[in-house]
Amino acid sequence: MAKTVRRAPAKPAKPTPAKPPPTPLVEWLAAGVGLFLVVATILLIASEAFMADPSPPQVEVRALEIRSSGPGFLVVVEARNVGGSPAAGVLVEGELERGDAPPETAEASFDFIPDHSARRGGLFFETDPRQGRLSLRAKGYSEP
Amino acid sequence: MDQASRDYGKGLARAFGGALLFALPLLMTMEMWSLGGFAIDRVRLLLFILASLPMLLGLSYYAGFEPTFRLRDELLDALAAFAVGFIVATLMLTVIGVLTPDLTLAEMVGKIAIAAVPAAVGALLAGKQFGTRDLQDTRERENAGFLGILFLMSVGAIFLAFNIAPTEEVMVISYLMSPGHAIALIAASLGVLHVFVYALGFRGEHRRRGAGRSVPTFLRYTLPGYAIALVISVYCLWTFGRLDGVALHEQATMAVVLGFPAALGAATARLVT
Repeated sequence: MAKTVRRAPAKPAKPTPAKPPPTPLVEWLAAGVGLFLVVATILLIASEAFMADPSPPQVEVRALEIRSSGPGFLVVVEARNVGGSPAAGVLVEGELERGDAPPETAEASFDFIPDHSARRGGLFFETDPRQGRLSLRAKGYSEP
Repeated sequence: MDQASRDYGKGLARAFGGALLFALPLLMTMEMWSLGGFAIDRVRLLLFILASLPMLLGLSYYAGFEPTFRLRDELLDALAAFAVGFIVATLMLTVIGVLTPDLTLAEMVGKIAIAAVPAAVGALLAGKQFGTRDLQDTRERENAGFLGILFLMSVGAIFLAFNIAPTEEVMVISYLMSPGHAIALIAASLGVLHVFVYALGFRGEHRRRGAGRSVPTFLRYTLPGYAIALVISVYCLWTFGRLDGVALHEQATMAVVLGFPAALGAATARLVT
């Protein structure tokens, strides 16, 4: 029967001479882990729900590195959302001005950039971005 | 290690299996990742987590991975089930590459938490499903009572509805359906629910009043069961933000669409738990 089993003295890893707990130590441990996870989850989600910064997304784009990629060039970019709200479908455009020639553009879209977070992507150019003036910007987003 | 600890360890291992089995479809559903990560309104996510705790506690009473009736033990089992669900969701989402270091902590916890609840339900169910039960224990649980049955119906409804609610198909199906289809689906939901409740009955319900008579069973179990299924459907759809900015008649059709699996879940709750 359950009750007699339950009252059997539990042997913790470190033997304690004190009164044996009525519930096996592993049970307390498992429940303790559960309690911690429940409380931590609730606190984290609650802090996000009620103390979030309501400012709109603000995406800043910067180039991390420029390298050659096949016949062209790759600009690795980082889009950082410094606003208080997440942004979905963020379209990032890079425009490369080269003297008198028409500017070359490249685009990348980011599915989702959470608030105060960064995501990485890449832009492909045919001409070497180091030879011209490269400007990067986020063109728009949608609310997730 | 003594016998009680060993038994508990076995129960815990079964719980891990159950959590994986029950939550896998959700863990491998793309919408769940985005919903949990950012798309669900955080207040609604918080409400869902908070509401799941009494549900786990109640389920622990009927299907805990230990044969217990003491409130303290139900509480311990419910918490352990949450831990199992959380760990299973974390490991699985990590293995399939959904949890990556570039996510914020809040995003990760959101993705995990939304899947941890159904996994915890699976953990609790597995304890009973695969477990050995002594007779006294079985008798206790089968006399669930009317409210107990309604509770189990709700858990069954929420379980199946929750598996389908995050997908876009609910919306797509409701667009495909005409009002005539919707009415036919309501009739089908009631029919399925009634056949399960009437023909199969709830385990341990042999002596219930009105057993074997169709009309009282319909009024006493089928109609409340379908009401529960619809309420649970609306709640799931609302939690996932599927009702936002949608016209009322579409909302109603979506509730009916999700109401079918919810009714099936309610009807078969007693088979599973």
